[in-house]
Amino acid sequence: MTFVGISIKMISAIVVTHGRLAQEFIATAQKIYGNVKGVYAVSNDDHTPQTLASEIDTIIEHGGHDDAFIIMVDFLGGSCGHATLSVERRRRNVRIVSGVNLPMLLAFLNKRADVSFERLPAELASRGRDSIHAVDTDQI
Amino acid sequence: MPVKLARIDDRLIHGQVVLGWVPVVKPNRIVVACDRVAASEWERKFYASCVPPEIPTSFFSIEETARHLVADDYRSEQLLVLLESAEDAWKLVNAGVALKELNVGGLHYREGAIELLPFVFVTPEDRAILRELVKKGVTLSAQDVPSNPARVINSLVV
Repeated sequence: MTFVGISIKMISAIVVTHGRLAQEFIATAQKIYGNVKGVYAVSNDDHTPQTLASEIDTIIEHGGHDDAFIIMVDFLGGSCGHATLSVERRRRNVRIVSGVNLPMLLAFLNKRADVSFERLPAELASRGRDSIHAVDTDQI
Repeated sequence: MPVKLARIDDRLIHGQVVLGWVPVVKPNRIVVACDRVAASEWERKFYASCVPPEIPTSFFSIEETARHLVADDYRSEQLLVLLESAEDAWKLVNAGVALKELNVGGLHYREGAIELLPFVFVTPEDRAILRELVKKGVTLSAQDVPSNPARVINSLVV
């Protein structure tokens, strides 16, 4: 994002999930939000934790030096969690939020230009968590 | 030797193991036999966090695992032993651990690997190692989760 010649840090997202969830989350979010840039899908299909981490590294290394990345992972166990944590440990411009869901991803798209990189992970976690209810239809 | 299941899986502890195999094997202990993980605090914490709290999990190097198994240190327990690679399985067997059967649960694509099954990709080195294991009398049983059929793949590596 460039405003009148002032370059500010771009925050990108990498959605890392089992199977095809990541690409479908992003495709669905784009239907709601419109086309988006800087949002990447990574699947654990056919990957070892090590090759999965390499794929995430490749995406990050294609970004600019001022870019930061929020990795949204489906859950912290298994190969997605392992790969994500191993990348985060090596990089200062990466934060992780687990439990990705559609409200969380939409909140990322809505807020990334306005919320600082330091605050964004907690806000996304809170948005994702707040969207989960045992719905009591008597209360609606 | 109380090894109820020995499994090669490059993801070590993950959903297929915890939700698929643990309820069937009912191990008293999970042993992660991997030199790298045994030496890495964050990986030990990470994998331990994936296991239900009632199942103790031990993280040993291949050498330590072999020593415990050969000495029968866990004779009163049923163990689920996880190995990251064919090479680690070979090291364990070479160190004197007599495995009759090895579950091949996940060797994913790496450069130079060819597909034997959708969840089993082997490099020429893996194939040579698996062949040696077969020569030692090990049955290689490819099965990702217990609800899918097991397939003996000995003939695919010799």
